[in-house]
Amino acid sequence: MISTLFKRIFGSRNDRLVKQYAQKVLSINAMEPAMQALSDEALKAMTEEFKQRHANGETLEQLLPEAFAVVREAGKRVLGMRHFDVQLIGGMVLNAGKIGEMRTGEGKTLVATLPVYLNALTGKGVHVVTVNDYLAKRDAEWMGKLYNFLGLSIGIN
Amino acid sequence: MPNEAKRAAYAADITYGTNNEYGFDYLRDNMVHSREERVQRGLSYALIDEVDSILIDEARTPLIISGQADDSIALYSQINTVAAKLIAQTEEEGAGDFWVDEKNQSVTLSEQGHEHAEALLAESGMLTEGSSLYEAANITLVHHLYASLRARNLYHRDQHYVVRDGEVTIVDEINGRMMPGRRWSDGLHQAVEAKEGVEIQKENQTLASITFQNYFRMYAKLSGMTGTADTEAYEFNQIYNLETVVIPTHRPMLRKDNMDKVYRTAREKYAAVILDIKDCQSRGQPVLVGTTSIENSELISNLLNAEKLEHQVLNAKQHEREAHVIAQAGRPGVITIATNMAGRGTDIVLGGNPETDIEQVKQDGKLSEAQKTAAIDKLKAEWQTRHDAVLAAGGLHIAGTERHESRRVDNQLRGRSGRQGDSGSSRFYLSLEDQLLRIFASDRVSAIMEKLNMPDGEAIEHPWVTRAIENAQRKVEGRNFDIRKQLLEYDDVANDQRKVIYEQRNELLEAADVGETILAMREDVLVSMMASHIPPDSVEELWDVPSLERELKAETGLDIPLQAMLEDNPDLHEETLRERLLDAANSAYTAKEDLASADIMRQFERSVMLQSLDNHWREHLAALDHLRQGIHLRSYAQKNPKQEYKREAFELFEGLLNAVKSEVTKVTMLVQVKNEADVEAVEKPLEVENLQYQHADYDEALANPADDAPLGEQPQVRAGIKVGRNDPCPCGSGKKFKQCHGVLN
Repeated sequence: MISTLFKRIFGSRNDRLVKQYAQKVLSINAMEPAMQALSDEALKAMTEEFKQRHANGETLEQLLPEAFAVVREAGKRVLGMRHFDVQLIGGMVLNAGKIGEMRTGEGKTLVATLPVYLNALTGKGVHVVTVNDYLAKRDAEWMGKLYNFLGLSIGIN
Repeated sequence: MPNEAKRAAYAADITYGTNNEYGFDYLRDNMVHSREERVQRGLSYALIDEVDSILIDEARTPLIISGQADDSIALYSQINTVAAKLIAQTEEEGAGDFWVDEKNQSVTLSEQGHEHAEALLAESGMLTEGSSLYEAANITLVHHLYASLRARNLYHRDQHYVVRDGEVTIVDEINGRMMPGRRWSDGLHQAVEAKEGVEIQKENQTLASITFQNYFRMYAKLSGMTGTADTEAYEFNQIYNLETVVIPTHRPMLRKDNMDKVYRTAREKYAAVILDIKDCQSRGQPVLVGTTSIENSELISNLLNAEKLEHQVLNAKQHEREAHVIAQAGRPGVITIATNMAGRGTDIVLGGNPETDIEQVKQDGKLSEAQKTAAIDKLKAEWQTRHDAVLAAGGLHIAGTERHESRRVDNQLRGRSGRQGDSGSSRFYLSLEDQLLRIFASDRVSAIMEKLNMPDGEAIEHPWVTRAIENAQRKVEGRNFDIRKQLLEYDDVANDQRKVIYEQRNELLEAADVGETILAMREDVLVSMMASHIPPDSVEELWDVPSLERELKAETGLDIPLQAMLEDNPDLHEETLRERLLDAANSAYTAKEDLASADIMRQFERSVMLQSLDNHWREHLAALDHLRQGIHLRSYAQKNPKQEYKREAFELFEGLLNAVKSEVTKVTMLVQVKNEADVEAVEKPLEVENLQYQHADYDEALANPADDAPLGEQPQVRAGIKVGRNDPCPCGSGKKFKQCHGVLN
């Protein structure tokens, strides 16, 4: 009873988290015009810059808005798909080491590119785990275009 | 896949792969003989797609790498003929030889069954006349007999496995895919092979194993995504410390989920399903029919054939085409039958997915650019018409023919419809003969049906019934959660030990020089050897010097005239004697080193240690396995099995470390190497035939104590002296037993 009341006033933890992430989406959206203005080469060069900045002590958390904006722009150019705002939220949930529940057809594969790109900047290797070989191959080939465009290498185990 | 390719894949910034491959690569990396052979480079961040499927469904069984060991194959078929003659009980305490408990997935022999089995075994000469199945010598027979009974009564062809090319292939219960190369453990697979009359393959020895829980928890950062996680949020939190966040949809969901229809018999249920399918088809609405087993898929397929309705079947037998077929399952009036999660990860686009056709046109070299554009536009226009037609007919309809054990899997089936704000509908058809209802919910629902006074052929459709079924599912989910948690609790013990061994192994691989470790081991072994013949702080009358001399000679090749030394030198006491002994050993060792070279010696030391560690670890795994299987019997002795398991596993592990120490000391002291060739001879890694990668069946280990009730009727005999809870702990810590090794958690 009390918890229902509490939830009604303050919103559930889920709502609060999502709201918090939605704040960041605004700043990513704000970067969109600047990213659009970059040439393909300049966009690709961002990867090296991020890696450098991370090596110099910037955390992934600090790099997140810019990195996500870069991936979104690259997605538009290479795959012809723009990450929706809710997909950006999904990306942030995944980067935070949580489980994101996304309905069928919401584009989970595309969401994955955001945290994968960001975490690959550390150079320690990111493992994407799928349920079968077919999906591993399909996703690697499909999303590989985007990663390669941004200058990251990709492998299938 | 060759190791170079794998290494390259892991060296990339981003690696894609299946859960099994990651786990097995980790285990294989810890079986290599040099650092260069390893393929993975640390576990930093993992993103798991379909996380519920991997961390929950697949986590019920561990990953195991095994090789073949010697085993008598004839025994399985002999036991199979015996098991075939035993008769199942129709009610738990009634007449018959054994009771099949479907709820617990177990078989129990009755008193009468024991006598019958003993007589049959004696008749066929496997058991000597007058001896009992309970005797220590017959433990294997009992084990085989139970395996055979389980194989015959709990594992069904075309549901749990298929027989193909004279081989028994396991079918994944969760997604209905075949899993070639996987084998059930503990002789169960051989028992199934004997039952089916196909060639029986040799029993496996476990070389390495890990659970997904423990593998994925090693990542510094872990995350996952899925369409259905919320019902399992508690487990993710408890086991993996992962929080679940529901991400809002881009467009609102429009699918209409109808209430379940429950029929009395399966026949009526299927008739209703066919009627529903026919109705959809006549209106041009695509239907996806979900089933829980290949058997059911085929049954529905046959029914549809009888009605002359064209359809596609997706199950373990056609996995290559799965993805392609599912992509086109949204075309108007298409009927698709699929087992759970067949073609997961591929969207069903209403009107069919035009991308493959468009791609074909794009690849066609004969067409000019203009022609291509025209063809593509035409394809797109055609798709639009189809898409609109399907939308008008109500989108994709889902007809579930059975409820799965877990609500999550049902939600996944439903989730195939209504993507990105498309319209769609779903309905589940059930009967009182379905396994889930029969075992877990029959009384409640039957009572409701009775009360409502239902005529035959009529279905009930009521929120109460749907709720009763969901409660039944919740019960099963809870049970499965407990199974996984128990598996994990037991694996945690092995996991701590695995970490120690693998760490040690890695150090060995990294280190150029293990001379110091060898030295420390040697001293340990010699000191404890001396202590067993010359008790510490004892008077000389208690010393047994001649036997110490003999043991030194046998175990280390050292020939030291200790007795003579003592006679010459009356001042020698325990400590100085020990020093002399160690000095003698060290100089003997240095002499060996001089005969070869320091380099060769280091190499030799390393490979001896590596092999000794590997061999003993392998034996330890088998011992742990064995321990786990029998451990539930301890509850009859008023002991907590988990506690006992922890304690004994720890003892076994200590034994393992000591065995490695003495073996390494013995080999390094006794064997003289002179050149590289000698070292290579030692280094030759153990050749294991036919490496198998499998998900084992853990039911046996985690079964209820009730499974083995007949064994429990024998009085338990305590092996050692009883240690009271308030007595001093036998480990010598000076604490009370209840506060030291006997502490309860």
